[in-house]
Amino acid sequence: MTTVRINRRRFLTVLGGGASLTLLAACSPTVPAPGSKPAAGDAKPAESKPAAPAAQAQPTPAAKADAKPAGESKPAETKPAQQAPASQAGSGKVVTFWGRQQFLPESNAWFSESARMAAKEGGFEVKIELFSNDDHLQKEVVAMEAKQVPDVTMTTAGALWYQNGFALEVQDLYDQIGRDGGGWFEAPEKFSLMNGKRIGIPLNVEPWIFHMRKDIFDQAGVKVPFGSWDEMVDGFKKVTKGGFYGFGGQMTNPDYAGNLLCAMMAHGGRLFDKESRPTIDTEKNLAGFKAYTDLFTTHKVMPPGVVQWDASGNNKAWLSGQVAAISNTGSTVLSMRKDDPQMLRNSVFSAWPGANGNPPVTTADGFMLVINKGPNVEQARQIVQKILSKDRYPGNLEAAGSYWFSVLKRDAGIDFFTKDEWNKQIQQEIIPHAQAPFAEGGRNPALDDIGVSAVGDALQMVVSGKTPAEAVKFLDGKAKEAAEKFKQ
Amino acid sequence: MALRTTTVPAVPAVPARRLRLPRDAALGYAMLAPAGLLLVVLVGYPMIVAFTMSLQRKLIGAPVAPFIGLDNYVTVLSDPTFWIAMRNVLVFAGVSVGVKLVLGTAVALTLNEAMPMRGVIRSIVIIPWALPTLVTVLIWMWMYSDIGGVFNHILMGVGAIDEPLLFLGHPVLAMVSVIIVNIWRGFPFFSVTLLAGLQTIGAELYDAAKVDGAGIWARFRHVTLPGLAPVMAVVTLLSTIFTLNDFAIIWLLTRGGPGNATDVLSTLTYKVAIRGLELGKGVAISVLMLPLLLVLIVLLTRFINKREETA
Repeated sequence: MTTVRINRRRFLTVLGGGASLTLLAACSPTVPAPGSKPAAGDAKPAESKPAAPAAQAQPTPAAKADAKPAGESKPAETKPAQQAPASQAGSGKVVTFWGRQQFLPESNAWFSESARMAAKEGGFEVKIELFSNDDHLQKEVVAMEAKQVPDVTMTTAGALWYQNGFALEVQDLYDQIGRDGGGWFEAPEKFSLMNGKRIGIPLNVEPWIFHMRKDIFDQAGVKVPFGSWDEMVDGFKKVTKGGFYGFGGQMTNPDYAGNLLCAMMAHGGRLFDKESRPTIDTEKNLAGFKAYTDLFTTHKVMPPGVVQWDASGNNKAWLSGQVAAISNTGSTVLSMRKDDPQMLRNSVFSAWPGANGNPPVTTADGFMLVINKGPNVEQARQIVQKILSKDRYPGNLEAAGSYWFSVLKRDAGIDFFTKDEWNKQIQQEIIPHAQAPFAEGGRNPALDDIGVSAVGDALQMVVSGKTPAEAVKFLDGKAKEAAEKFKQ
Repeated sequence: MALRTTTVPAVPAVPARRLRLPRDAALGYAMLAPAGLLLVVLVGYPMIVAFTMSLQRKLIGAPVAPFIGLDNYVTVLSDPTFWIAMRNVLVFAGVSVGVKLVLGTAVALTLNEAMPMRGVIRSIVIIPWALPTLVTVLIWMWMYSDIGGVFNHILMGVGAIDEPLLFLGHPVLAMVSVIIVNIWRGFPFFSVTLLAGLQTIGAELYDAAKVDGAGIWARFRHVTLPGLAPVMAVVTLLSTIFTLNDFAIIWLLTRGGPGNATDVLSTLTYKVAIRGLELGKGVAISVLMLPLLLVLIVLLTRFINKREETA
């Protein structure tokens, strides 16, 4: 083994030279300037691009693709627009599109494909990133803080985007899409408003569906759907026995909008008024809160495990046959359609029975925001328009199974909603009663805020022995804190 | 290749020394500079930004963040939830680390003995530590579940309970459950490290002790424990720091619930800063964790320095 001696000067020279070269290499552009020709063939730049998101790689199922004009989906399936050489991308712009992953891959694929088609038609590129529901909000808030935002996002945090000055007002786009789509339904109309401003474009309605096991209730001599709250409680009591329970509703935060909030609305309660001021500590809200928590504490028609359920708790309880009723979005309908058609045949869907005779249904929503910070506003608007266009939107509704319902009157009458027995029930019995969780007001960051954990904390207070009145006061306090927090 | 610096040729004593020492020092600082720069950029700067943020009413994404002095600290310290989280983190870390130390030592002693398939068993012991946290937690979550969970299935099967236990829904059970997962995941770290420590204790010490008539317990107390003590101290301190900062296990299993029964400072920080959007207040909670961690870090550093000096 040889020993090489170097002196200090030489060592430092070599070190300095190496560092300088590294710096130079790091600072040099890795992508050729737009329009410049690659020196060694066209293939390499395309190969070096990031892989397409998973959703893009998923093939659209043949059955779904067959139902649509072949020319729309097939070319893009085999050659995504993102992989086109930059020189063919027209403007050379790359538009970033963030979304929430849906339950069905087909839905993600269809949705993404619509965005890619808009990009192809508009001569730009689109980078699509779909995040899981659990990750989505965190990604968005971090992006807002870092000012590294997408050009368009499908979000549940519309109020926050607007509050922080990122959301473009899109009344003109909303009007145009509404005109083309035969008008908007009432709930989506509210989804997209905040402080009287049109801050985004509704994408879909995800109603909370009150599921009932007809076979179980029939055996107990109980008529479903229930005509009133009291009838419902009696029915639950009759079927609750030996580890089987009448109702599987969370006593935790997840799915509160489809459970506790529906109960409060069923008793005439509202969390916020038209001006988005908290109105939680009222007799009506207390009556609803008590009626809901009584199902657990007094009537004991909920499984003990509801105090620890996450968002999938009610799905599991329903699908495993542990409960006779739940309130959930269409995800359980989807699961039954795929895996347990017999159970689907034994199911009846309705709105919650209203204590004041007015059935309440809250609905979650898909909602698209165009971000005003950036050079791609026009391209982002084109993507939104394409997704809701006549040639793309009905297919997306179908691809989403029974999870999405139409925001546009034009597409509520498609065969998928009128000929399928279960969708027909939902479309006719539930959608007409659907309203946003914020009811008469518009989007509201304080509502989003208490929905993060305060509602669950209030429910847990009752579980641990506090009275519903104390819990409602606590929730009211949290809502007021949140409203104060978001005051400009 | 061996790297050597040449010595400076002999020159008149006084001026040469005056020149040589600063040059050596300069070279030393130059060599340290990249690491120092990294520390400043990656640790110092974020800490200063974080501390500054804790003095502001900073909401995520909001364009303005007014300076509010120590208001965030006052709010946090007067919030009972903070003290619940503080108590929880001490219980969580104290019990977890204590059990991991005992269990890890027992397993290390066992694995240090001659036995068939010792290599295979040693590898198996490492598995809980090697598995990704998410996988571990999802498996435990299923085992704890009241719907189809294996624990409830077994307990009901043998007639020990009539209805499912709410492992994650009862305040005490939930804390016990998250501690068990932390122990299960963390004890191999103790076992493997202590096993390495055991193998450095000379066999002649045990032989001498046997000759002196020491039994198993006396050999453990007077030979094994003193030999292992330095490793035990370092592992315990490191594990305490890791456990105090543990977020994933609790968040994935209980989200800090039911109520705040399993909330620790890291989950509370996340809830306040990211989910509650109050970045300034959340950072204040993190900053309040620092003294606790600082004491441990100082202890650990002193211990290591002392060992180096002794060696």
